[in-house]
Amino acid sequence: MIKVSNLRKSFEGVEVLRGVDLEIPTGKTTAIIGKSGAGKTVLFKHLVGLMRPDSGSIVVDGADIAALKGRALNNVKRKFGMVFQGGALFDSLTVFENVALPLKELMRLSGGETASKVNAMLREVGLPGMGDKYPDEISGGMKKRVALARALVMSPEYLFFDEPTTGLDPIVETAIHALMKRCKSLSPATYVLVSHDIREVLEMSDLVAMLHEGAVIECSPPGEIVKSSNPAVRQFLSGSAEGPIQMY
Amino acid sequence: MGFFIFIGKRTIFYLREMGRMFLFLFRFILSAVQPPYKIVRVVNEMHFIGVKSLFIIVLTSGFTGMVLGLQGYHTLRKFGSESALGSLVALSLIRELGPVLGALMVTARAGSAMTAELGIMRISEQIDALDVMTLDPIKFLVEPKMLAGIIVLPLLVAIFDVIGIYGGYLVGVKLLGINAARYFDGMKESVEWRDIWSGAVKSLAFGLIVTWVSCYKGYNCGHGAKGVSDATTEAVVLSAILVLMWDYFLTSILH
Ligand SMILES: Nc1ncnc2c1ncn2[C@@H]1O[C@H](COP(=O)(O)OP(=O)(O)OP(=O)(O)O)[C@@H](O)[C@H]1O
Ligand SMILES: [Mg+2]
Repeated sequence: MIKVSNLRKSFEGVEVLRGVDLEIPTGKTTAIIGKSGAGKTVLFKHLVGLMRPDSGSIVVDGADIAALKGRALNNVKRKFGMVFQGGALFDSLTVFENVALPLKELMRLSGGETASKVNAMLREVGLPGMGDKYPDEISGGMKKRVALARALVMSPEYLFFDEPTTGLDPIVETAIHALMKRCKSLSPATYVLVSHDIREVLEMSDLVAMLHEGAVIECSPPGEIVKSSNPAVRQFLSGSAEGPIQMY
Repeated sequence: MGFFIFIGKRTIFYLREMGRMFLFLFRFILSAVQPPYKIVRVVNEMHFIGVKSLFIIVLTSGFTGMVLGLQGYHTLRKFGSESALGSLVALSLIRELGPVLGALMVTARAGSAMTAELGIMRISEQIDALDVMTLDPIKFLVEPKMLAGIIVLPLLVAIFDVIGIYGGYLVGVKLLGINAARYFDGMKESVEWRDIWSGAVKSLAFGLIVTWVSCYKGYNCGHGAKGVSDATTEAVVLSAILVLMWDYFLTSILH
């Protein structure tokens, strides 16, 4: 379980996170929604230990990663996999090498074992035989799937998806959802996802947390959040221009 | 009042930046002494720096030696000591021009490329991706580049010196008619081990400075394409300034 308490972070005087409290239960899929610029990516980067909070705590299975450093922090981070919003594939490595990198460097698998694992994973995400391509030779949807493969190949306990399907066509989107569900049924893990896509959020998640003005204003199962009385949540879910969420 | 606030803020900014740079260097040293040693990566980076810079080093060293031969000849002739041309060319190159010009050329060619590469990795979150995988980006990206720079620069400087000496030979002996034996004998008599040693120390130090600044600027680059371009410019300017400043300090220590 991840428990975030009173998390605060500001950049150059602007407070982006103003006391976030959030509980991410083990084994469930939690979605974080909120308007563009609400700080969802910043919150994610805190959860995986890439950013340090100004104050507050992030307790992962009993260990506060905001207070950990070095090897102790790395031991917690080994539980994490992350699919970045932009993919963040290593552009000097091929698709195959991208997926193989964590296996080779962290698990120290032999060449043969790595190759069979990577090829199986690439088949899983629907990219068999694409291993020799470089990231800038493939489409955006393919990049997302490679990023997914790279995160999944280490079978992490916690998987973070920053907008896994934004910018993809509906068919690929459905395929990625199916893939996420299948991976989850194969090896139970805790999924956390950021998304703007209400349909995706309601379909995929067990719990929806809404980030607004630097705090989580509501966190409940999809069936309840659609009936929420909070005006900001209602506005976001209906996509209306009228309401407490300012356009810009 | 505004003026003093401005000065104060700038001073604090630069002190902070210096502190960060030294912390970065410290992280590099810590990482370099700890296994695993990424020898293949270091060799790849050496290849990158060496190949990128070799042509420009050959070109500039040839012309530097030739102009030294030309200027030296005309100056020395006024004192009737043209025969000292060999020592003049060799000593200037080995002690000063080889390390300094070599470092500047490597900055322009390979240093800027390093900054841009790391900068793009930073803004496209590739460095963050390594970090989440618990692969230390310093170990993985920075250490091989810096080690390679420290190893390769002295080698490139040696090439610079040799080609420069032959550039001087071309002008002094072939064009202006100094005796070839004189050119090389004078050189052998006047160049001491100390000179070679000081040139080597300088090129090691410059190799560290150039790659340190280039990697630091790329690793900590700002946002977007502008961030990368600013980082690259800053890396080239700062490397050049530091190389010339340290050249003075090292010269005064080593002689
Ligand atoms: N490294 C940083 N330095 C300074 N400001 C930052 C940094 N990262 C994010 N911000 C600021 O924090 C705010 C939230 O950004 P964030 O990327 O978390 O938004 P988001 O909710 O992920 O939006 P989107 O849905 O568009 O991805 C933005 O105003 C952004 O300018
Ligand atoms: Mg985002």
